[in-house]
Amino acid sequence: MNVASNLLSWITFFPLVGILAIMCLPSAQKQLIRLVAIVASAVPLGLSLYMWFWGFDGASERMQLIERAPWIQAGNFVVQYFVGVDGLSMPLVALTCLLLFIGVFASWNIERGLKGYFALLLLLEIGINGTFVSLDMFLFYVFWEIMLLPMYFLIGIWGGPRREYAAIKFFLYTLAGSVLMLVAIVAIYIITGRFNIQSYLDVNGNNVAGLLELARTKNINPQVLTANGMLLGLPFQDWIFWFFFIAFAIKVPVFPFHTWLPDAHVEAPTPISVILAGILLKLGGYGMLRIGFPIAPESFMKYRDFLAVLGTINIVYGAYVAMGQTDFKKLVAYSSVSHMGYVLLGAASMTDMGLKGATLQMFNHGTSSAMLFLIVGVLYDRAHHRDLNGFGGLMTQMPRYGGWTTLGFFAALGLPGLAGFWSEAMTLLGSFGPYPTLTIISGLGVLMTAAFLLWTIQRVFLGPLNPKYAKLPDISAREIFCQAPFAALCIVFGVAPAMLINILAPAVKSYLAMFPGLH
Amino acid sequence: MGLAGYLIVSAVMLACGIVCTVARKNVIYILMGIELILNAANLNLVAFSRFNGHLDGQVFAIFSIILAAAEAAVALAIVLNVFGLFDSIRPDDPDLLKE
Amino acid sequence: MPDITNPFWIRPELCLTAFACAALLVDLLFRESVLVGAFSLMGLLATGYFLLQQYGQTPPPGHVLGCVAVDRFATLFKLFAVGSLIFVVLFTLLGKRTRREGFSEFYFILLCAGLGAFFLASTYHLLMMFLGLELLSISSYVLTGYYKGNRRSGEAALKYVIFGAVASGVMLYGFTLIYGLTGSLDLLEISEKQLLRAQFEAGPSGYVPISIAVAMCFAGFAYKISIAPFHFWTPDVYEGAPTPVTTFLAVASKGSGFAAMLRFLSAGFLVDPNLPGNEAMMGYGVKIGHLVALLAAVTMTLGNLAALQQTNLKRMLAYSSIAHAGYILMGVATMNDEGFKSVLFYLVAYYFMNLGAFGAVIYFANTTSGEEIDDLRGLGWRAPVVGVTFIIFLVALVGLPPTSGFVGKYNLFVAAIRNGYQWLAVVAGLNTAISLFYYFRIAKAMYLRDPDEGRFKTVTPSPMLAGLLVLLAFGTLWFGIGPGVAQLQDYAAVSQTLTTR
Repeated sequence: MNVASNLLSWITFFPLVGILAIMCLPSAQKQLIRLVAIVASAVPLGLSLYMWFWGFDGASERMQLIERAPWIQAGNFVVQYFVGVDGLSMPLVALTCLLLFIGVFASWNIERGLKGYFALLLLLEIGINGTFVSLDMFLFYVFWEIMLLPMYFLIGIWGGPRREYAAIKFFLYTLAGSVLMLVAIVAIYIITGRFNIQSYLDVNGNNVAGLLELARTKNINPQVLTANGMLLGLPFQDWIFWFFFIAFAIKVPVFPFHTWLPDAHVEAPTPISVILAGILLKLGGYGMLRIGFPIAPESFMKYRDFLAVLGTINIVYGAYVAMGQTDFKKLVAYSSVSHMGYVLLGAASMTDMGLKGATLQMFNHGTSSAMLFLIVGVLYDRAHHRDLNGFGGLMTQMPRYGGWTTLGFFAALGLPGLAGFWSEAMTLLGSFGPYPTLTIISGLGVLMTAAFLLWTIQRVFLGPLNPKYAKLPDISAREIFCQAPFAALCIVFGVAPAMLINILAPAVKSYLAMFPGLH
Repeated sequence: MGLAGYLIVSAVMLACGIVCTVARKNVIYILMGIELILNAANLNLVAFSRFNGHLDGQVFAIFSIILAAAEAAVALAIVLNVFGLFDSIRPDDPDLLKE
Repeated sequence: MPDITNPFWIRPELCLTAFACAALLVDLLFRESVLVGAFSLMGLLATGYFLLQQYGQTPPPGHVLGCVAVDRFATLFKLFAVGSLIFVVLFTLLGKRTRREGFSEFYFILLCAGLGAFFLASTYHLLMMFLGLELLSISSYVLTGYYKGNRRSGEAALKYVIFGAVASGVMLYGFTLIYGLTGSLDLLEISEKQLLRAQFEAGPSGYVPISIAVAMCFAGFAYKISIAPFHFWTPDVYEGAPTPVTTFLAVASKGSGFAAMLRFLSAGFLVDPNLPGNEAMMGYGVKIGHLVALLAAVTMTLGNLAALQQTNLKRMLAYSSIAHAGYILMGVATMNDEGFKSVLFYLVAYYFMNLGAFGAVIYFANTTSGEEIDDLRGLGWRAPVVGVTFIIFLVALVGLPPTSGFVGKYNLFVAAIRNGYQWLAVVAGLNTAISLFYYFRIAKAMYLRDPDEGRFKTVTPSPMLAGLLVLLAFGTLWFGIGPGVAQLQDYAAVSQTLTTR
């Protein structure tokens, strides 16, 4: 049970200890339950920091901290417990731990069903971290699905007025995508005989990445690949590609699969919105980069123009719809749709710069959107509504809150000097080469984002003070404590983006090497 | 009469039985239809047995006659119970369980 | 060949029969239905013990008494039946409505139904198969109508008996046609001596009679396992019958139905190039497979779509069990060992989650005396342990990890995709997503709704029943992760009994 040698397992499964402890506590001991939840989420955070600074070699392209053991070896199950991280997943694991830790603090006001709430929150953490570190597709799928159940209950029980609808919609959308993923995983298993993700990613091997390539080298001509490799008029690989893509696109969410997101965000309690926007959406982008695209490289190269168009639509459409919102939370939700579009556009560009931008954007959106949702939560806790037109002049009443909000908004709209700037700029720079027109259109999205965020500041903080809110208390110390880490990250990675880019760069390099025939 | 004759008779009986169970609205008629189906099968068994030259089919037929009797007994008991509850022996009348 | 000298191999049947008859005597002497229930439980445990003994031994070749096989396949399904009967008896003993007086003969009939399931699962002989089916069915009709003054129960029994009698009559007619075509009633003999060969070699003109015969036999199996278009009885009967009986129908009865169907198909129509036979036969097997695949798609879609609209718990679970029959048919459609193995795998997984779900329904019905989904409002908070186990069963029924429902469904997917039914796997996948919607209406009622104040201060605690549910939930999880999956794979491997010879 050496912590250092099983670091990822400890990070992933430590919350289980917290769940068991919380289950054993009597529900009247509210402070004690909260304390246990803090400890259970602080330990993975500590471990992940240790991993970031000491355990992980940022210069290496390889998977690191690998743990590998047979899990189920029987019949159709050749499943390994196989985990590891590279530059792509390591920052996201750390971000997850941070978000969940902050999530516990942001949940301080929750009184009802406290035991269940924190147990589900910790279960959610296991699911998310497990998905990020899995290198076995079966394991990946198991964690992916484990995540859904706590999310359903967290939205459904502790959410807003339309919580039932939002919860089941979230669950249904994600499940519909993931059953397609299951079919694809089974098909891959049948062709290759294993679930191993890394074998497709191993750049030090013979550069075999694609599914068909792998089947060919293993000299398999499976029954599923009919005589000419076609199935219902599409090459087999395309089916795999689309099944994976839809599963992940729903999570991102990519237009037109995005409609669950505003509902889920609006109804979810603040900490859950933070986790949802901060890290759950990243799972979609991560899944595409880790499995979906490299496993079907030929199909990806064939369809990437289309994906770039989808990414652009996301950016512009998200920003456009956000402009029309009067609900503060919905506005932030649509801004997430817009921001996640950069990930898809950058990934489709297949340039070094574009991919760095996309992966960077995943991390930076995690911090900036978390800030935005916390900001909304602060206001909602005080005013009990989120109608943007119902406020005004709060800057004089809540100056510190105004300051934090401005910082968060600037981080989100990509002001130079803050983290969002680098990721958006790099994405656009990278995609300008292959897709100049789309990039220019996306630039429009940047302008629109700036417009609606500034307009929001104007509506909420400037102008005459609504007398109803003359007595609102300013942001509290606990709330500042929740905001501060994200603000710090936005500033640090805004001033010194190289710290993060240096970790991502090797992963991006090995990612690009997996696509044969790329200039 | 050859085998074909028996088969034709049994097929006609089967058809009558099925039509009777599907079209009739009275449980007693439906039970009679079921008897027709079973007896069509029995006729088949005996005829095949005769033309195949061994007794398996006839033994089967005896079993099936006994089973038909048992089934009819249970069915009638159930019908009686339903009649007591609903005052009707039309299977459409009880409609507590519906779509 | 007939190993009549060694009673070891018929001990379970003898034991069950003896206890069934003795249960009547116990009733006569003591007039106490709880006692009779406990006595039947003892009998089932003893039978289970003998079966486990048998399972460890290498079975003798051939048939005991000429028509009852005692191979591993049969033993597994007998264990399956006994295992579910044990829970059915326990549920009966612990249910509020079924605990009362006058439930003595109930146990006798239940054991008889179990005996029918035994014979149905363990024979290649058409006569025996018919007898087993009828014993099981007739007992089930009586059990369904057991609430004598209850109108729902009576109506359900009436519908069941009419539907069942017609279906088994049609099946009997199909059997006679097979007998006429081959001159034999023994499926094993038919397949070993290839008595249908002439039919297959005659080409399309030979296909017609054999197809009619197979289709008619299928009617009987389809009715037993509630496959479209023979599923109409299911919702009414499941809703009207006493809940323990519904449990029996959904688990033991369905399991034996699948056993008989697999035996029937394996004896003549397997698609396996390694088996002795000829290409014409294999080609026919492939065609049956296509038909079964179509039925599977229709059944699961119909079941799931209808379940969406239900408000009654048992009725919803009935449609869910139709949908599950559709999933399981995916494995049958492959018509080879891999598919049959995945069927057995799924059935064992299904055993835990379905028993559990019905057990939870009984638990809550004890408190609310209602079986509507709406009656569960907020009860998850009032009975946390049972609530959580119910969620686990629902998750398994949807087919999400880490439960046995997931690995079972995954196995079916592998079988279907590997054998060229990719479209069926996609249909099943989308059906899974649909099914989430109605299964989680239960979760929604239990946890997302607030309990009516003052309606139930607490749920009547029934620690025994809660303990059983925890046990079943543990099974659902155990067979969903880690070593349990490997064990399940071992059980499923008995399908080779059917597919290799």
